[in-house]
Amino acid sequence: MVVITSLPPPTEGIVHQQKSTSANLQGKDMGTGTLVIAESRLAWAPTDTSGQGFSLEYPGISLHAVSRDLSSFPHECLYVMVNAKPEDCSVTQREDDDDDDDDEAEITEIRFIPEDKGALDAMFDAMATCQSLHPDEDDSNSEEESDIYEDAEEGEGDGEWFTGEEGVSHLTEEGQATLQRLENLLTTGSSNHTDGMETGNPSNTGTEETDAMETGGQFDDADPEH
Amino acid sequence: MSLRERFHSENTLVCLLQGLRGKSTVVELRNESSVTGTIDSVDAYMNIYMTGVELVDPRGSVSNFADFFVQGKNVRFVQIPDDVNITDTIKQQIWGWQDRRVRKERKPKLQKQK
Repeated sequence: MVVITSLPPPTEGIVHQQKSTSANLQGKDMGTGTLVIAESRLAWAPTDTSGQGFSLEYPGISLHAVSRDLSSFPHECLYVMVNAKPEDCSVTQREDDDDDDDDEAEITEIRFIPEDKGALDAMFDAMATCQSLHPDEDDSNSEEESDIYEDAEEGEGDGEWFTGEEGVSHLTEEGQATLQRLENLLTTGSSNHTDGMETGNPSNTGTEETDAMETGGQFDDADPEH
Repeated sequence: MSLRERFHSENTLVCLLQGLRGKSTVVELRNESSVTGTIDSVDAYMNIYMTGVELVDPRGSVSNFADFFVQGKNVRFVQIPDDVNITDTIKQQIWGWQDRRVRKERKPKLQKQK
């Protein structure tokens, strides 16, 4: 996919905007402009409209980081590594070392230098948030698993779990009856079996006893304090 | 954590990485870069936040960064530090999540191994 484009900054879904930000694309200073971190893409537009702006697509961004180490680069900045050869982008052309590096290292390094260095953390967070909005589409796992946890959802997408008495009112009548039956099984299952037989508890008849043992056994590793 | 995230965390080895919070280690990326630093957190999609990192890019140039984020799909390896007990870490992570739930009447699922 084309990662670096000349699309203008988006006008919607803007998570963070940083004015007076210089951009350095693969070592080339692009001038000063405004960085727009939006949900759809990352864009930088120069203040001088005759200059060349660019946009980055999140799936193509390998990583980003806050650089405070002045020995790598003389200014504190937001570093972005893009998964694309510099020549892929319609914006810059590298005249040197094109063939040597690009066969193995298909990356482009971009640094954004805001005038306000205190904004770097906010810019970093905004980028991380937007990157998370673009999860891996190609990952085979994300397809396989869509049906695997269908039964885990059990009605509520968020998986509501009830840990105490407050959950009982959420059950239907049938559900409450089932809960009562299971609780009975638990209490009679843990008491002396002969006592159970005398009272004629159905859970202690031949075949049903095994059921009680099976359904009782699943609670063995439950937290005892509940 | 959403249900999908919880599923990913509990059924894949991502839980091991989530247990590495605070540890310093090396993350090798698919683009041949490698990152050495302290793991701040890892989410269910293997997106990794790190602090105090040294990045060696594919060309070999070294840079240092205070805060660092890489998307899960770009990760090739995460080295597990020698002082980490892998099975204990996995158990602690999973027990930590399950403590907050009541066990339900359900057959155990096949564990998906990554």
